[in-house]
Amino acid sequence: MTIAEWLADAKADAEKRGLPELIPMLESLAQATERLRAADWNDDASTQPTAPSAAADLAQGGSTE
Amino acid sequence: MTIAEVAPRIARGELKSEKLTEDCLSKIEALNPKLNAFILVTGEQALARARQADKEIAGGRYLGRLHGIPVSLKDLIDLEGTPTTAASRVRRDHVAADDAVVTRRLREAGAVFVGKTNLHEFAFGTTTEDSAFGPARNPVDPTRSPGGSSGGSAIAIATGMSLGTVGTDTGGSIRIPAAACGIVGLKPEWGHISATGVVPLSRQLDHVGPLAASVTDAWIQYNALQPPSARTIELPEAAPLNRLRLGMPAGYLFDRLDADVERSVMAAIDLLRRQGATVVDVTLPHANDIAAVYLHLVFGDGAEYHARTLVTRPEDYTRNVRLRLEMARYVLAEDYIRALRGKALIAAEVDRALDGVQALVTPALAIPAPPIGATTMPVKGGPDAVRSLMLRCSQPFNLSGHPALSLPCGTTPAGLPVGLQLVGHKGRTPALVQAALAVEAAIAS
Repeated sequence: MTIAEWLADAKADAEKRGLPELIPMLESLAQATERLRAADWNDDASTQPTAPSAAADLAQGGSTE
Repeated sequence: MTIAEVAPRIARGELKSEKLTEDCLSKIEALNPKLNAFILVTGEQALARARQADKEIAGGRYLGRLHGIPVSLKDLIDLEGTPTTAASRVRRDHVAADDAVVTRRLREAGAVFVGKTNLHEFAFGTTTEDSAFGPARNPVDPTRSPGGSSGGSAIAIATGMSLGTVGTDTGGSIRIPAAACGIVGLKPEWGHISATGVVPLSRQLDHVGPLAASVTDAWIQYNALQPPSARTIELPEAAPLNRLRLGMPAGYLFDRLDADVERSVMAAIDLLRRQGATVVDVTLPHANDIAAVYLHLVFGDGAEYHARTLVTRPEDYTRNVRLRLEMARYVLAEDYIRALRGKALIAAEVDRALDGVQALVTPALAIPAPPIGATTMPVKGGPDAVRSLMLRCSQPFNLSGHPALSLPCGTTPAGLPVGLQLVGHKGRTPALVQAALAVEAAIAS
């Protein structure tokens, strides 16, 4: 699900539940989610997956093989 | 008045716990109507316990530095036989069947419980405004927030309503109010102090720890909260300042500071340099991702804990906390997992930044105590959300789990306190406290 699709669904759901105040908050959450999904530690299924210890390897400037 | 000052007098019988407790209860009676720091005052029980402590001490059974000392508990920590409200109507019918582990440890140390302190509802906020019991107010300027979520605890220490207190810190909820009220707050290393019997916000980010009038008082309480096998009898001594090596993570942690806060923090760091400390630049390469990682974790965990009552009793939450929890329910599992991986990465980066230094030095709180009701504050030209600004400097170390301490480092021209944060190595909290003692002494001089 793309963030745009998720946001559209979440806004519609909030309206349906009678919580329109959530809409600007959901837009802020969408921005944070966008940042999270763009982070360089995320895997891409078309390439080699990172090892379980990838986070530590990356912080040490080492390989993630 | 500090625990370190009065404890020897109590031990020698020169000062009675009953008198000390009466003094604290008098301050609560005088100040609480204005500052709203306490949700529950356990006056009669406290006086009975204080008289018992005096008898024990007179009989030669002194238990240590907390014996006979009036302390308070943030009201999401269980105290047997009293409600643990979490500052919410959702828990209005709750009565704790048992002490939390930290309560039991303080009780075994001889502490006297004077009451339960106000907080941001369910600890889900940084200002202590959204509470079923009304907003708590900063003792320096009651039109302003005391910070939060452990706001009532910080007020209690700053005003002498209790000499010790225990709070919790999920994104900064010990260090933020400590900075905003001009006291010391110690967030222990994650997992070192038990959270059993404490209402959770995010079990993987929650830390239980002390707020105090001095670094030594924070240590005295921390020491008693530890598992018995980890406790020490001796107080730690200040590290020699000329052998202190600190890492300063420039960038994210320093780039959105209120101008007055920035001046105080940089002046403190310059002072440490002049007095012989070495301050070197270090980096946290993924610092700009911290807020996004934190948000998805705390939202995911909060949504899980509150799912049932959000459906059955939504009207019992304060409006702002309910809305944030409702928003939290939209976080997707895949994004939560991304945040978990980011958390591990950030923890490793903090470890790397600590290589070769005793502690990191940063601001504890990017802004002074905000006016009650403010949702944004002007920082470096633009209005930023108060909540984001208040979490910015503290939440990285909830993600990483490192021990971190806030201590006062001056005031703004308006007299509002500013806090400096020191972050230590995992497994070496005593060394962090020794560094903090040195910094505290340098700033006091």
